Amino acid sequence: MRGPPADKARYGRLVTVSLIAALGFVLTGAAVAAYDENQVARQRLDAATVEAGLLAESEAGPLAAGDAAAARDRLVAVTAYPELEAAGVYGPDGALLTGWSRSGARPAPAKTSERSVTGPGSFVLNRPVLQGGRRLGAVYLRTVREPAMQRLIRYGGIGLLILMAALLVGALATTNAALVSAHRRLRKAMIERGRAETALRRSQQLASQAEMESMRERGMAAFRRYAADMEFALAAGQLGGWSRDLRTNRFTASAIFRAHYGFERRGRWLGAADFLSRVHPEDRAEHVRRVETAVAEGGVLESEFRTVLPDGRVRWLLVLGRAEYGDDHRPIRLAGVSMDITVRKTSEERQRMLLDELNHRVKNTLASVQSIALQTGRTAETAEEFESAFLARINALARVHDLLTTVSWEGASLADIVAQTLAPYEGRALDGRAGYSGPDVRLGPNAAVTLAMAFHELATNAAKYGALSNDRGRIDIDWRIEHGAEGELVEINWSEHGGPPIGPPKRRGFGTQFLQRALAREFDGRVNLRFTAPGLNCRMRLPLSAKLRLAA
Amino acid sequence: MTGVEPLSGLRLLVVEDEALVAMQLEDMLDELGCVVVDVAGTVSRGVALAENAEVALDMAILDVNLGGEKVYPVAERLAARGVPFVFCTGYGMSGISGEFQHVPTLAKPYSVGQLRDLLVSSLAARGG
Repeated sequence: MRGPPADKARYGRLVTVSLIAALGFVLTGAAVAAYDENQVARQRLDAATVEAGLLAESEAGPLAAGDAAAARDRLVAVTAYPELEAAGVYGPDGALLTGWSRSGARPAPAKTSERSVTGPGSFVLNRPVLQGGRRLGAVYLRTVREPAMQRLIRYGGIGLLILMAALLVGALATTNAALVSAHRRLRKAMIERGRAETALRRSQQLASQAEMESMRERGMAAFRRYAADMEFALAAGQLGGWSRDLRTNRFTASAIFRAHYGFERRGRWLGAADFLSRVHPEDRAEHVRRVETAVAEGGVLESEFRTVLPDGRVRWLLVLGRAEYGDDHRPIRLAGVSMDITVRKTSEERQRMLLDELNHRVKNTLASVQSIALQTGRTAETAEEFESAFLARINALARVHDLLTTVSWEGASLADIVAQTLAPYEGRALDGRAGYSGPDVRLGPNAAVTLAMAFHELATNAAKYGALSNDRGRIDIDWRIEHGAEGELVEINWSEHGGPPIGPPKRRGFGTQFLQRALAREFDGRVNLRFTAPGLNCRMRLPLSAKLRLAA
Repeated sequence: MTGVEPLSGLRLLVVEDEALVAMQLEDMLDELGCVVVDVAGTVSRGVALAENAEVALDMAILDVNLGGEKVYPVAERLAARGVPFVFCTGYGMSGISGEFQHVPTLAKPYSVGQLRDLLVSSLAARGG
């Protein structure tokens, strides 16, 4: 609240100035009036003096002649002078010869006083009438100093002028004051406006700053959420993240990426060379080539390679990435993810191996079937004999394949093979006429097929000619581990009893050949076939090996 | 078979672990007039036979895969002795290691005609 005291002081000053101005005007008016009064009086006096002079000159003649009537005429001629109040002509003796006065006015005195008087209301002029140095008489003239109306008008004019000047000055002052005030208000308003604008700008600035701040914070929060989501997603997918600044060659790697290369998840900074040193030497050149191609051609980097971990383990990694380019098309950075694909690679490798193995087995099986067909054809005497023997052998082959499939071709047990060999005869009231026993011996796939085929030949022979061809015969199949000269071996005894009497076969059939040649060779062992009185005895002595071993 | 059979009297070593296949191969070689010196069912026996200088060999037929083992050690011994050999395999050419890629190979199953042609061409390539 600064207004009122300042206003009061201003009003005080205004009153003082006004009073001084009024006094100035009054004094000026008085001075002008006095000067004017003086000027007017002198003009009147001059005019009256000229008039008196003129009358004195004009009366010289009549006085010289003593002609009163002429003197009178000359006097009346002067009365035209409007301000003349009274006039008189005096003879040499000083007595009034003739006189005139305006009605109501005091007449000219009877005797000349010969004195001129300047009174407050009138001028009195006495002039001698001279002719050639001789005084003929005198004239008297009295004039109104100034007519009242004229004086009133004059003073009124002066007053009016002063008033008008005062009014003008006042008006000017007022206008000026108003202007000053207006100017002051305007200035104040402008200052206020400036302040307001500054404040507005400031507040706008503050507002926009606050908005920017808020946006920045929202942006940062969003970015942090995004980064956290990305990290979570990468971690969830067990993906490593990596980025390489191609201008500074600075390498940035996530914890998982480091772990993929066998480095501790957090630790000292690692450069591209550190990671490259863990890439399998055989895969390194190709990986580097792929990285360079991706940067040069702007394509997707896709590189599968092995990493050798410090403990010697080998892991397969898939690295995907892409280069980013600036406005000048120069590469800025290369970034992407890494993925441990060891499981996939292992399974792919396993699948490929299985396919190769399957192919191999199919080919071998076909070779076996071919062999069976040719061998059977060589020994069969009739088409019917060929057909039944061939199908029986193919069935035996199929059954052992079934058996191997149930153990994933890992190798079957000897007991299972024997049981499977006897299975086709169960329905024919085998009734415990066959028995088998022995330790748990395991055979590799090929060995299992060969032994199964061998047992098939023996069983077929028994069913045709031996212990299973009547109701009383029996077969005992026993095996045990023996310690021979060339190390441990499995001795398998196939013994038939109670069958019809038999002798050695008339010709060496497929079965005999298979047992004595093929089986013996495959196992690097010996097979002994004896056709004895109780029945056929087949003794196989097969050394333990990778394909024939004692179960752990 | 006639007496002009080019493979007549050829002394051969067979390394084949599958009994049925080996039997058939023996029969085929009999048919071609060859003499099967021995049939090995394992790598170790094959190596022993290949190293034995007393066993005179003109040629060998090697099954590549012997119960999971590769026959290459036998092939190396034969190569060292200067005995030519051919492979037979169920894997096809893709199953043969780089060192022996040039070795004539017979894919299972094969006929006696294919066997004879391969043996004849191998002998011819060696300069008879």
